[in-house]
Amino acid sequence: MRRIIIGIVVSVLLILAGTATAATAAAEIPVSEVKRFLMIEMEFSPAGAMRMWTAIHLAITEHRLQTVEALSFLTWLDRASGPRAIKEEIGLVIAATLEDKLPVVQLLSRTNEWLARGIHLHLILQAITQQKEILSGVRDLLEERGIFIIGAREEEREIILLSRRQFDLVVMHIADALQIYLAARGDPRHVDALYNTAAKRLIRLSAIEIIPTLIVDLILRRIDGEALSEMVLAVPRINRD
Amino acid sequence: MRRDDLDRMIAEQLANDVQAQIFRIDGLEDRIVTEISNRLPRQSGWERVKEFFTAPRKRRINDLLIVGTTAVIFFIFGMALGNRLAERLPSKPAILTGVEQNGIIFALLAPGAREIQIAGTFTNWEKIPLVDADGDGIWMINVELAPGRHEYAFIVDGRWFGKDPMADDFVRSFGYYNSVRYIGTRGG
Repeated sequence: MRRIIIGIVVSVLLILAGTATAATAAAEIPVSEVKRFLMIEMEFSPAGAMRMWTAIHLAITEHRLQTVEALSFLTWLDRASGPRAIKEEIGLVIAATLEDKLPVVQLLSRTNEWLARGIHLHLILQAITQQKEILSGVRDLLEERGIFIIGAREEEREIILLSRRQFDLVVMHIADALQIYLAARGDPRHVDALYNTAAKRLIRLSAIEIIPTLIVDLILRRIDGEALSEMVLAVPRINRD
Repeated sequence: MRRDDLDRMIAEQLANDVQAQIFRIDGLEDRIVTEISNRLPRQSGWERVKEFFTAPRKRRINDLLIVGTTAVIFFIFGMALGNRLAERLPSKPAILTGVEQNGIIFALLAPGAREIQIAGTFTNWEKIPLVDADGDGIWMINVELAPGRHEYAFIVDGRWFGKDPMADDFVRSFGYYNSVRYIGTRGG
């Protein structure tokens, strides 16, 4: 009797182990699938596809991007109707964003949304190029005001060190809020409106404890509307009368 | 077991029965067999391991083959079961229809609509259907959302509708509205 019970228990454990192994493997998208999709399905130029793959692979390895996010973006891009060359240019903007180690998640999500809505590819290309510049500008502005990722510039005084996750969240959300403001024909010279746009987003995120209130307070004390305005006006195609 | 051991056990069992006032000949054999099996020397796990390693090579190979084959069969069965389960389970984020705990309910009053979907940052902008199970015109879905800021829009009979009255905020994206929900670390 005891042997039968042990046998049943071992059998159940083996079945559970097999089930868990298979289910986990099926739930996770392997990096090789992203590579296969990009290099074979997308029909980009070999050089373009290789540049995208290198950037995506490095970002996945460094946990800045998940395979599911990469594959989702590539799938949307592949599905979209439009010239292959513009699709490749969109992919290369994303690759460049990853190469610059800028937070890319929001940009990918925004691109997916526009592709889902059927926005023309050339408009998407223009918008994400602009958004990449804003992301870069916000990061530079934060660093200029002494706000860094831990380990980046520890020798300096009066600096605020954030984890990569927090720093990326701050950059991503300020840039996204500014992009939405500008896309809605907001005036890039209206310094108060720009500052309030960024502040409103960060305060909302601190209210739901995504970014600590202390950090949001420190950041909002260090940035100002003039700097944000100067930064967005430096982005090509935003400097308008 | 020797004959005199068996005799001694029968005598002991009879004495026990008398003492317990259940003396009867019916079932005596069964009780003795049970007692014998209880008294048989049992091997500990370590002794079994030792026996395995000291057993003849042919027997060891046979044992290993039986155990290994059984394990492989059950593991393969488990893998097949896992694959089936993975196909049926929703991919992340978990989309739950109906009212569930820890989820955020998206609801839209649209009597007469044939199909309502929702797409957002939490679905990678893939469209997923809302359900009006009782036909009262209230279409619903319950979605498990991670803490953070989520943008979304409904798609009513193929047309995008981004102004959810239940939203925390709205943004405009290429002239289209998106609704925004802020989900705290404590939910809601």
